[in-house]
Amino acid sequence: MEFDALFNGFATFLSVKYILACLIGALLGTVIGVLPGLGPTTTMSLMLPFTASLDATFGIIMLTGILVGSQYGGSTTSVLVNIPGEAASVVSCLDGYQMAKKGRGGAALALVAVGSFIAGTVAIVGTQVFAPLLGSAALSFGPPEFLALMVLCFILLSNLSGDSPVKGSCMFALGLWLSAIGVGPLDGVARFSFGVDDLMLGIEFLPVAVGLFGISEILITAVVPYVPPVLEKIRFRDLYPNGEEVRRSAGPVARGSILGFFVGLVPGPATVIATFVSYALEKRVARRPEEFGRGAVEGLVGPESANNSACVGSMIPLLTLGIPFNAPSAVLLAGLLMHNVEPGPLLFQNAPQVFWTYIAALYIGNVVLLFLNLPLVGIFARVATIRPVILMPVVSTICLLGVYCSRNNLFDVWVMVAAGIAGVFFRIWRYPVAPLVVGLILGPMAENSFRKTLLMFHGSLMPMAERPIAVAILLAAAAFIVVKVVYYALRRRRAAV
Amino acid sequence: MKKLWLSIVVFAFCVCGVGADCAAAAAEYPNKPITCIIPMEPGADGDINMRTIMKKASEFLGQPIMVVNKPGAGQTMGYRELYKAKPDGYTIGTCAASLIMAKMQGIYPQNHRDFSLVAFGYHALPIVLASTASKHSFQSIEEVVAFAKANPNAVSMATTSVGGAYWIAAQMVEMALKVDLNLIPQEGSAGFVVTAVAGGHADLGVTSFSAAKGQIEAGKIRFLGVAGPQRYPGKFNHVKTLKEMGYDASMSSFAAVMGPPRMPKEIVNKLSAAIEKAIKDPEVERTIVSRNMIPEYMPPEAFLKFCNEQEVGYRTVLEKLNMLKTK
Repeated sequence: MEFDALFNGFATFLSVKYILACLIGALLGTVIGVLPGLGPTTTMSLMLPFTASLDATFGIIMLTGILVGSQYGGSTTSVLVNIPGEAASVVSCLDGYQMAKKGRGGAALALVAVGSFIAGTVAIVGTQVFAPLLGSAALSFGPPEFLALMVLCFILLSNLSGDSPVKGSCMFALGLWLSAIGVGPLDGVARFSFGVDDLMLGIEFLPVAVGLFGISEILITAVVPYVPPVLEKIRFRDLYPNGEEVRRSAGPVARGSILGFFVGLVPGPATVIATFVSYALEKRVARRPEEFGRGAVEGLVGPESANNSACVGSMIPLLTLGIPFNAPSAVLLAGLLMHNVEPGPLLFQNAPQVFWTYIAALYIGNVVLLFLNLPLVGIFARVATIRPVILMPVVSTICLLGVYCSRNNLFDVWVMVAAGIAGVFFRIWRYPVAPLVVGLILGPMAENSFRKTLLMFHGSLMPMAERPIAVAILLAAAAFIVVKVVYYALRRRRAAV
Repeated sequence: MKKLWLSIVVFAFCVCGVGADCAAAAAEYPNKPITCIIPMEPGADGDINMRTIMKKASEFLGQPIMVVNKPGAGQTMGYRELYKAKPDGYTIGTCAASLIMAKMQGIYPQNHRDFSLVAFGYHALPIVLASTASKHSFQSIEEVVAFAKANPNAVSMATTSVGGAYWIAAQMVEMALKVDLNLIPQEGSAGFVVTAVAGGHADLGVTSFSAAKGQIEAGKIRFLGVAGPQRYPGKFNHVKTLKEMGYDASMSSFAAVMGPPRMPKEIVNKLSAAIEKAIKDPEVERTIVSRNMIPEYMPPEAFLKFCNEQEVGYRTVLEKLNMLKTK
């Protein structure tokens, strides 16, 4: 019966109009994903009035295409020029850019495209089968559970990058502090703003990340004399991954797909959390963790898969509860409401065809994106061979525009420049920048969940023990510490013997 | 390659912009495109509805209206930008309840009396919700009052962040019911409040109707009352306002259009007329109603009167909480 419905969903597609909608959406999504600053939220809001004059199916298919497409495009700039287009592609800079530096940029992008496709498909199957079941489970995730998840995240991420844990922790703390600047999200009190209006707005993630990763890279390139790359001409074979890279990617893609799907159900910026957790996880299970940060394919493919399946997974709460857990799904909700489709617990009774069309749109969008992205790999990979004299000014202009466009605020541009200069010194002194960005992103989430939990339990954390999900997550965090300590103790003893 | 991408994007946006076609050319004003500052993120309720209104109004004005999002600091970043703009009618902006509140809270030195009010757009009335998943599954406001009087600070109520419109509404409700509740502010949009209530993480909640409707219809949360001046039209018309139940808690989180200070009267009137036509347009009305808000046009004078009335209520709340910064 369900397959009948899905089949009908696909049948809807068998018209030039809807395939065109999917193509436009996917292409637009890929483009805005590539450009930093232009995220799916902005693009979808811009397209909303446009879709209102078309029929509902067309609108839903196009908006879905944009959303899924942006998840594909996001990693391209991370890999090629070390500039994360959005929060979810920060970790792709760590290993992706190192791969590109070694001349494996094409392989990296191809693996990301295929990994994203597989992860997307896994998540769609998950959505199709489990959506009604998981929707209500997502609701049991309250502030205490979120707090526990944050604790787990902090512990998993404690050795995110760099060789010195002390330096990493310092940078993480700095990121947390930066995130505290501005008007507090819960109480409306201005912190560290010194009466400056712009500081009341807070320090955004995007300008800091673009500055620390991208601008500092450009500044360093300007100083270092240009050495033409060894690979003068890219052979077709070099564009695509070799056997070993494919073999090493299988595990991370599988883990990333499943992990991302479940993290997608958590309220909040699920795609971002999914990439962090996946990177940390891959580093833990990797045979050669020392390769991480130096171009380990696992560190790129895992998080990129997780981010795509989280993106699909985060649609479950929207469809089954009618509650948008993040900004892009809020816009999708607006699009659905505009066409008189009300997502929520009654969606399956009232408008099952919408759900199935949506699922079909996801399947087809994913295939379209794979075929759209694989040929692009060849073109994009050549970006790495452009002389920096030409490439860097273009890249810095795009950074400036992108950062300004995200909030239309010139202050953000200054933050980016400052972060870029600071980034140069961090590199000279060998301080890892990734923990700072992670701190900046996770800071508000951790703070809010902590404070809300305290408010809920009248100032005590003990009642958390009565909540099974929170306890399970905390136990997992504790297990990680125990395993780590035991592992070190054993190794030291073995070394002593 | 990058440049090619950029040009593709620019082209794509041009295509979207063409939708707002230039129909009939008006007299002198407006003879060039108008910029509209929306002080919220793209995708927020106030952004989506206002974009729809502006698109229609631009057809009547005969000039495109370009929407610029300037979010931040509880909408006051956008207000600041508009306040500095030339009052020639080519820069307008939208506002929400924060325009009335921000001055009293000491966040922003201006309020509604410092701008040229143009037109009132629509109401989003706060509603009181009860969780069916929490320990106390309240059936009615009377039940809440009875229980909370006997057990002060035991009942939790989720609201939006401190100082925000629905937080003020929650404070009004708490004061009107004369009970002591445990208010839990959420960091984000109205949706966070619904998540907290539907998941049983809070017993009660005060938020927007649009965010909660799906869960109410599915019976996951109970709709106890409207904390605004009127009932919601349609299916939930039977749910009374708190005022009807004898509790004096009424506010409206609204959206409206305004201009920089001292905008010429003729321009204000011309804009106001175009926005009136836009709001009364069936297609626009359908969009706003589909998002569960109540469209209502008010000319500048009525809009000012409405703001002044709302201000009295907010002042009482902030004064009682000792949070009033400016008179």
